[in-house]
Amino acid sequence: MLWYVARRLAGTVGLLVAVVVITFGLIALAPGDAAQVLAGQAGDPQYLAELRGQLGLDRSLGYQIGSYLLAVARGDLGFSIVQGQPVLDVITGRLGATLLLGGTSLTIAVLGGVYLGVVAAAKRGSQLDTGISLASLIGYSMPVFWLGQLLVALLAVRLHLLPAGGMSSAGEQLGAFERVLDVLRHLILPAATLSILLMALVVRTTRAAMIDVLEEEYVTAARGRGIREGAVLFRHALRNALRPVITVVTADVGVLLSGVVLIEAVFSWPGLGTLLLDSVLSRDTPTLVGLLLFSSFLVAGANLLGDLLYMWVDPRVRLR
Amino acid sequence: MIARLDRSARSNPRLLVGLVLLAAVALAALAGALVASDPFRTSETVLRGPSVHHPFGTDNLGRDVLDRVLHGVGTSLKVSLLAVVAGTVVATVLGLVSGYAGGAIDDLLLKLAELFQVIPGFLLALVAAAAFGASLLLLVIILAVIFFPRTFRLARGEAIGLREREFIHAARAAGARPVRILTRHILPGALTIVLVNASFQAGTAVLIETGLSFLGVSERDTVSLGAMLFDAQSYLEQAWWMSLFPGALVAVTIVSVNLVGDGLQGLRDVRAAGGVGPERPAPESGQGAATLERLAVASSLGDSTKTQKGEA
Repeated sequence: MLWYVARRLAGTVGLLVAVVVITFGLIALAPGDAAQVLAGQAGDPQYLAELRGQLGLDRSLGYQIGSYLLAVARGDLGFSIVQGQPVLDVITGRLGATLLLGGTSLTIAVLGGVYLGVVAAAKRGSQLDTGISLASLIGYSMPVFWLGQLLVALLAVRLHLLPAGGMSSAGEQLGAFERVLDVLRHLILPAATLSILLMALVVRTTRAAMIDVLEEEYVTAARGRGIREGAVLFRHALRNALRPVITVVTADVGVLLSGVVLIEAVFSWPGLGTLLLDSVLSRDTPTLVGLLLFSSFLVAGANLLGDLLYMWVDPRVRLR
Repeated sequence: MIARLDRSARSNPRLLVGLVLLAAVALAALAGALVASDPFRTSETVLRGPSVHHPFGTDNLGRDVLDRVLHGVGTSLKVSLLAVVAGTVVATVLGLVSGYAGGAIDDLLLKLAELFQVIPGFLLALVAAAAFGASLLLLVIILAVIFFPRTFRLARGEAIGLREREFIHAARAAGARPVRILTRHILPGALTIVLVNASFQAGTAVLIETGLSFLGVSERDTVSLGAMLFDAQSYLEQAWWMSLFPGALVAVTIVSVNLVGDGLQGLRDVRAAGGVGPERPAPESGQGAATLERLAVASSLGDSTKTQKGEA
């Protein structure tokens, strides 16, 4: 088990090194560089050269990649001149907002999605099932940013029920408790939008897995012993149906991340997504590389977590 | 293939509805290219609601929303079609050869596929588009790269699954060359799953294309539904039609290709259950297992789903 985790982690490090190489290669291929962005359109050539020297841009690509990797190994993701602070600080400064949004949405999506998926599978072929399946197909096909817009237009702009964007109300003196409530009010719309997308995925997976499991003999046996249907569904069948759900949820962290970027843009949520967008617009290369590395790390970590959870739910699974 | 599609459309409402919707969307795009007037023409009549002259209203610069929507859906379809065709053809050929032949190249390509599955595709597209400047060609290339790993693994898995089957051994014993075995015997077996995958990827491509242009990363002189939605964001209070029509069209486009994907998957299940065609053994219990397999195929935006358990 420990050996397995160690080997997987080593593999992940290899992948992350490759991600760094690709990102640097991509940025090196692109016309223009960070020094030009800093110096402005009509930069003085001498100043440009000086900046390049400072940023290490005059070195070979291999040297740049190598020194970056060494720095990363020491926990240093470089310095963002645009933001005026180390990239690691920039990222951790925004991480909380994104974790709050992503974590809330994921929790709602998993709880609601598993429940709806079980219900749909239990009533397979009924109108309820058709309704749930159709809704999840549509939810899955919906562009999240448009969904967010519709909700803003309806609930914020028209009905004035909820704030349209941001994470907190500006300029108001609030106590600690009111501040928490204020953030929660701002969280409702973006979290609801994001969780609809994710829930659609979870519903589809859970329903499919439950349909398989419900046909197995041990379920019939459990019913035969007179166990209540609710307990059969949620205690006996769901445990086995959870495996593919775990796979899909942990494997779709990439989907979650891209959803987060779009949702944060719609709701001006001050997290990693808006940071990414700002860095793209200002061509803040160190932050971009850091963010891409960080999100690849998240995806790889989630995949590993998924495999471990998988083994925990089903001890029969032997990891190679 | 066509005859089979026709026969199964009748017993397969999802495929039928999906194809009809897709045809409608394609017609809209065609109308945009042939009939609609200049989507960039501004006018004095700004922010007007739907009327006889402007059925979908006008935007903040007085441009006709209907004209723009028709052009925008053309952009989405073009990008999606090119990316999916390019990605599918390359990845399928490499996947089949790699799976059939095995060896060092197979290992290398598999590692490469793994690598691109860890990088969140949407973020990669965003960074690349920002670095190189937004262009449709670049977007098509990036999408094809993002789509490569999954298609490659699916095709490779099919080739490995079929490689040791008796009819392949028979063909080999009869002296068939590898190219003939791959094209005549293995490709037909892998075709349905590749097509299912391609249709889901077409939906993802539309999502990424509109998502990127929504974030402001798009060619300046092409109309994109995403960019229209970005414009609409500032006028939600005055002009709901600026958001409603482009967004609805994006949604309908994606729903249609996903329905087609669902329907094609249904075809595969029917054939697998009937034992017709060179399929891998039917899933243990019909629809459910097949739906799972399809879900494995249908990762949305990020396309970052890892290896399925038990795959090759």
